[in-house]
Amino acid sequence: MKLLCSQEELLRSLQLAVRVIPTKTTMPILNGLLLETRNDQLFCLGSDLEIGIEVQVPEVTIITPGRVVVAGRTLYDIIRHLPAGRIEMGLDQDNNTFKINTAQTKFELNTFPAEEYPVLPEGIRTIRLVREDKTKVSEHTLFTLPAAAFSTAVKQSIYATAPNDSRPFLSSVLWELKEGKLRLVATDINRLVIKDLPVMGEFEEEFLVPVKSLKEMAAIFGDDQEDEIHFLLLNRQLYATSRGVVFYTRLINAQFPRYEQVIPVEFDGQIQCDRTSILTALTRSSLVDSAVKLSLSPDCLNIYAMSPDLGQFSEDLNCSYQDESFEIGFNVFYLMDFLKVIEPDRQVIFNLSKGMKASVLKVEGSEDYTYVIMPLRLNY
Amino acid sequence: MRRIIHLDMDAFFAAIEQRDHPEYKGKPVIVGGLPNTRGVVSTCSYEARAFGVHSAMPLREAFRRCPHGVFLPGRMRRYQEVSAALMKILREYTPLVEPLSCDEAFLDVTGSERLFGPAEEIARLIVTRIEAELELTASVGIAPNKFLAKVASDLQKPKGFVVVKPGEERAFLAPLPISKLWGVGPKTAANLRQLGLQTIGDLQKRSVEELRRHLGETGEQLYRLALGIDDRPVTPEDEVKSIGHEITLSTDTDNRDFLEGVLLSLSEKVARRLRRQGLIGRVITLKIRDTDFHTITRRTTLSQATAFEEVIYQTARALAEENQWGKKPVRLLGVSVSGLQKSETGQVPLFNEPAQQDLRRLHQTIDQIKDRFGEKAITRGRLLIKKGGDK
Repeated sequence: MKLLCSQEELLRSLQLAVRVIPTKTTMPILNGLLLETRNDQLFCLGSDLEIGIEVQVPEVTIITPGRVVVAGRTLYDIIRHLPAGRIEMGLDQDNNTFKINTAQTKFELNTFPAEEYPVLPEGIRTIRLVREDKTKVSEHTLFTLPAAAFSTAVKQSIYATAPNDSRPFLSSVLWELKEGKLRLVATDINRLVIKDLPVMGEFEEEFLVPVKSLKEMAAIFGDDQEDEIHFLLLNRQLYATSRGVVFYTRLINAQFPRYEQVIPVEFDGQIQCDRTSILTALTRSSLVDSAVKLSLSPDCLNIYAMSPDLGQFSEDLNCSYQDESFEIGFNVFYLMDFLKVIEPDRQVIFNLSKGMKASVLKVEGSEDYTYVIMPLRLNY
Repeated sequence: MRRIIHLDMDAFFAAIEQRDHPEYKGKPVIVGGLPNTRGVVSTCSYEARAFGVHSAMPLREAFRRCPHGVFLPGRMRRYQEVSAALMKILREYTPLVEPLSCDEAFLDVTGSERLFGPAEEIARLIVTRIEAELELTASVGIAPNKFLAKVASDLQKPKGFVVVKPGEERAFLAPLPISKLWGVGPKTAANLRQLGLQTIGDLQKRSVEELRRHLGETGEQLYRLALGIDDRPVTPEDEVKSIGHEITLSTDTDNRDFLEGVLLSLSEKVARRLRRQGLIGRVITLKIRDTDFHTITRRTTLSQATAFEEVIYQTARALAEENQWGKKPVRLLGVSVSGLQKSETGQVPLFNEPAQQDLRRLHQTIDQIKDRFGEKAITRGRLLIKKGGDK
């Protein structure tokens, strides 16, 4: 194996690939990245057996093809510290070392035996075939989304999960695909997010994606306005691919609760207010305590917080409420989480319920984002 | 000038046993466990102290010194009942009661003197009532601050009554050994002796600069204490911060199966106490001491507060596994739950998982059975097998 490449392009590719390298593993070879040439292209692969990535490195000239596994983070650090410009890399067959040379510098890295690297999932090969013959794309693709829309959807759902909980439905996000719509459903047991995205495609599917994988996916594909992400489902693995990158994750085998049942349809009061005014008021409230009391009375919303140690806070906001007065307690951070991921100039609608019932928060004029939240019992 | 009382019960657990069992009166009573077990003496009666037995002594050693003693495993619930009655009496004289343990407390009676008379009189009143109502005896120290009051109560046990008058602080402390100073353990004591300091009086004669040079920050604190200065307030008991149990195993073991059984039984005890007090908690702490006395404590925070042993046990076991327990034989295991809140306040969940509801109902039933027929009326199969020894 021998090739020429550009430091800038290689660094960009490695930056993505090292993300999936496990921090702790019982299989040392997983600390490596697999470099592989195919059809005059260089591919860089990494995996922790749950998630994995394949990145095609642009601007590479292959001199002789080959396959090698080298310590991933070390390789990344080395490339990061090389000057911009051309790099010559290659495997020395005699002593199995990997050479990285620029005009002045020479690195010689030990390698892992490439034949011991875990077998790549079936889907990677399918996607390669699809790539080589573009006409087959539609046959395997579940749906396609603009990267920016996907990134926003992840941001708007992921905060309502409990990634470290042992219960699978709290540490993953439900993907529901039907009637030309992708619905993400996330919960941490105290609240629930439903986010709908329009998609092209006829498929009907339902599966759970681990929160950690979803975070990686959003970070890897970014929110480039131009990019489109293709999603594929093969052998219970979800693949996402855009430009030269393929990311895959295992899916969770578990039941998601019947979430439709917990979404109330009737409420005791509705208020509408400006997203930014209420967010700043709640942020002030959160300085005193994580519990907040909302008191509704005609034309006024009072926000109150109290902590035995610190003191108290109160603020009145104008709002168009006309029904009878009532009070409700919330975890203020739960409210802020929802408001923070909405565009600043929007209006929000709070559909509130008395007693220990769920309330529903929405963005005015849009039906694709629903936040269901349970109250906090307060003793003041 | 503040008037602080430190009250310390005399041989509390042993005295309760002697009161409840008149046949033990006048005999050396040793509470902590049976003579040939591995625990330590938790309290012993004054009759036992005559044989050189003292608290924290290994039970085997206590047995060697006092083979005819009455060895008792102890009845914590009974002692807690008596302790509650005791604290109730104390709180009648001032709201500023700071319990240090179940049998000792500080009282700030500065403001109570106008109601009940001088501190000395209040202390007499309390001691008399404890003797009459609880049939137990206590020692008291009365002084202008907590440190002096505590030293004073310890000076003439049992039934001690020592008053340190304002202006007499230095003279009172001077003849006492330096080990009486707060924060002076064997190590600091040895350090101080090397400086030629035997009594608190010796320390009073040195300059604060000299002490600071040798002992740093501690030196300055010791100097203040030696002069009888201590302005820490008496702070009334906060609400319960955590509920926990720990156990020293009868033999150190790395048997995972056995250890899991112990962990489960500890979790069960903790959960039962949580439920009895109507509390739920989010922070689970695990404590493991290995055969070399190396102790680790690890904690984790749950997304949802709990009062169920199933959750406590699972969480504690996961922590234990992360820390490779049983790599060395384990000597002690402990589990506690903190971050407590009343079970009827706080966040309401959106999903009532059937599993959680089943657990709630199950525990309601089991708790009712235990309340009615005793703690042993119903137990887990797993724990029965453990007690049976071999599987």
